[in-house]
Amino acid sequence: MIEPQILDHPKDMLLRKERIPHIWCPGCGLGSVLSALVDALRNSDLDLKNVAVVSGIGCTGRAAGYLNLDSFHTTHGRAIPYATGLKLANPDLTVIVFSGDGDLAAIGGNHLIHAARRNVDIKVICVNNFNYGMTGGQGGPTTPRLARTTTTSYGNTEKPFNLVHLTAACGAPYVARWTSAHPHYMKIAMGEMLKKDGFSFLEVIAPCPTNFGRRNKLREIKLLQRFLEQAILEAQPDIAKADIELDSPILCGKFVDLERPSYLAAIKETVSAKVKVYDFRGDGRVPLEEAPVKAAAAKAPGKPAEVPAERPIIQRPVQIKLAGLGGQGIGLCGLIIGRAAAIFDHNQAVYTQEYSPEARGGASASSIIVASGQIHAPYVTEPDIMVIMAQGAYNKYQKDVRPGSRLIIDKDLVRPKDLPGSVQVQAIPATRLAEELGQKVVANIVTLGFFTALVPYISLAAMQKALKGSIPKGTEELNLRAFETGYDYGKKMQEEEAV
Amino acid sequence: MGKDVLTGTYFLTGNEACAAGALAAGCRFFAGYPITPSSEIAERMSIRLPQVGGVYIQMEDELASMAAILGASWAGAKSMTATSGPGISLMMENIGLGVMTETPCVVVNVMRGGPSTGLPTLVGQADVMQARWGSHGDYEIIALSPSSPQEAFEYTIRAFNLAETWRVPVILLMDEVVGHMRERVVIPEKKDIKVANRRGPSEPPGKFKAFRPKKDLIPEMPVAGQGYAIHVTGLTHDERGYPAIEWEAQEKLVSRLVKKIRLNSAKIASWEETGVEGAEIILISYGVSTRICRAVREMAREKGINLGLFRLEVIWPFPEKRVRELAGRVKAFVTVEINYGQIALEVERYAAGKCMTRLVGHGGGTVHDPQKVLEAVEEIAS
Ligand code: SF4
Repeated sequence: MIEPQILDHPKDMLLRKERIPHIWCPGCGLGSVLSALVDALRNSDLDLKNVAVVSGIGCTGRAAGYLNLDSFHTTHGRAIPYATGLKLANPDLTVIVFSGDGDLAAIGGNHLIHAARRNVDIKVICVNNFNYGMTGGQGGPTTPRLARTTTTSYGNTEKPFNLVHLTAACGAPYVARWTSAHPHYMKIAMGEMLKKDGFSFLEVIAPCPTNFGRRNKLREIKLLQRFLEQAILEAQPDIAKADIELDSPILCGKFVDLERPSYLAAIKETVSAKVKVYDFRGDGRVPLEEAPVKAAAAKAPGKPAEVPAERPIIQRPVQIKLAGLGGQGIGLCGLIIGRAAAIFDHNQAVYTQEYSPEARGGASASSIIVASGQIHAPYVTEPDIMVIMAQGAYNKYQKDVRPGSRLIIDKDLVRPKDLPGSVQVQAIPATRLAEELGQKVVANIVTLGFFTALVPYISLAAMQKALKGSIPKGTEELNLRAFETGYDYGKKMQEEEAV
Repeated sequence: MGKDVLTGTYFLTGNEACAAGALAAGCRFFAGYPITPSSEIAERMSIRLPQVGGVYIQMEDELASMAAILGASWAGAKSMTATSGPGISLMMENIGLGVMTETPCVVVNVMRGGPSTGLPTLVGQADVMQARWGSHGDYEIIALSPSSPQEAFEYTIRAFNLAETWRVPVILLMDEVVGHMRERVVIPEKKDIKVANRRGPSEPPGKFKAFRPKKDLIPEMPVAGQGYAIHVTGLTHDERGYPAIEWEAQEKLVSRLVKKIRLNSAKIASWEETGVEGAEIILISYGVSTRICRAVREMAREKGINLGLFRLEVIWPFPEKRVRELAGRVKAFVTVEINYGQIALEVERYAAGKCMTRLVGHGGGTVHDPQKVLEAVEEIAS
């Protein structure tokens, strides 16, 4: 007697044999689609170690678990963004999304259109069986009109998605449709997708005899037969005619195959060309070299070793509030004060600003607390010093001016009224002086110089360093002159007052 | 390639410091969706990541952002997203997937006032319970809460280290104030920053089981492309990672997911005690509210009240043992948080009647008035 010899099926290497039999019903189209993918992978010259499959939830979603590849069975609808993360974090991977119509086009519809638009290099195989098989045959966004499902007992009334038209319209550079009755063409399409650099989309119309077929009098083989008989195979099919009706023929073929730079290719081209070593300029331009305590920092974070001799000692936290109109550069002034105190004077400083949309136009304020010890509560609640650069801002923030506090204003632009008792008002024609320097925009820096001359809590040296690091290149001279102008005005005023 | 650690002293917002911390921790993938008050993290990452060979991508929503960082983590990248309020609600779905598939990643939630759209630009601290159990099913998670930009930098690194070590999504619970305020931030030298990485497989493909835990209950983690043909599923699974839809498998897996955090909580939980020994009353707080409590302590000292501060650095897992111990020694715990009682419930649970427990909470939009906290303390002290 001849012993029967059991050989491995050539497709076994790509299947997790220990997981077979699969859960799919007899007559289901999913097996053929999976089989075609296995063939396409075997025929490709890809290193299968670098191929990953991602599925969502549903009958089709189980496919990932049967393939002997790195496989990810994710949440309902999210296979595409998950695959996007995989691909972008390791561009050497070939990432295939294998999932159903409900998963990809209903709950995951937003991800589908954006991935097509973005052109992330993932290969999406969408098996469309017109209903939700796993959960018992409910209708969905691909159910043909008048078709019966467990949730469309009177016949579906909604227009279904034409998925190939949709993805093509979103910019997918490769779009095809076949049915599970066309294993050969499926394989060809999948092979082409594996080679494509960019988002590619294959819709496979497949029978779900258990649910969709049963309720539409298209049991088992009948449904497949219908696909075979009614499919129109065209070399250059017209995508606009690819709508699917219950009894209409199904237009199949390759609808789109064009070249468009993939997401990663575009990044390489645009972003990589512009990237330079970052110097924190975005933070108000304190260049890295000027950061004073590089070495000491490592030893005691937050406690720099070298304390400058002229460091002002601030016993109790001093609250400062700056207010002005949009465009007056109030935020920058606050930042410079904060940087001067925190980085260059080695004191503590907390800076906050208003973030509400109302703060974008109109009057807004920025606030700084400075102290030599720790600052706990971060908000300015009782300002010791207010700087107000415009009447609109004065009207809005006048309520914050406290008795006994100091009020610094633009002499020409702010008319203080209804002031509480013993407020020390100090005024400078900052805007006028800035205009004399040739640039009205530096009125804020003139004010800052004035502030520095009058207020003892931040050293002049620190302010100068912070200013230099906080302004755009090429404007240093003007800004330094503006600062000096304000500073001198303040010093002169102090001298006159002393006399 | 640009530097990932820009050593020096800066004046940064918490959000900027968080991004700097992420890079220092080795984060090389960020997926996000703009939302106030967290957008500056995404903005900074979009500038910085390309400089260090990483990838920044803006996704179509927070569902996608969370899914993308899980995918990236399985491709071997340390990954992160940042969001707030409505965004964190959307992320809960895939945070659950991250928990179930033991995927290291960091999710930053810069808390604003809620529910719903609430106060987009103003502070809240009401997502604390959501951070713990906001996704469906039973699990344990790790969450940290910085109270300053310097801590935002440091805790982001800690968050990555914890995620990599315990293989769980780690939530950095910032709040709007800490995210937006600027303070001095000292970024140390790269060599002085401790970075933890996930443990890779110690066996070759074949016998290796991707979800077989080691003694510390953590499995070794291969990633895509290494030849292990891993299967990663959100379904209940066995040690191979294959679906196992039965109660025995559920018991085995979910109990391990819970235990790996609970039984290791001594190594994960972290808090700071100030003046707790001999204190009559202890304030319990976290995030920006900690700062207010520090101010209250100073005010109380002037009034002769012996007030301690117990500040949660790691919120979840909660330091239950220590709170239980302290409950036997003090007159009262006063929990200070910007909500109507979330951590206060935990405090009450572990105080177990051994001392008074009080909440000073409010609905959000601003920080606590220290005076109000002091009044609550004085009422108990008298
Ligand atoms: S329910 Fe339908 S789609 Fe699901 S396995 Fe059965 S036949 Fe296939």
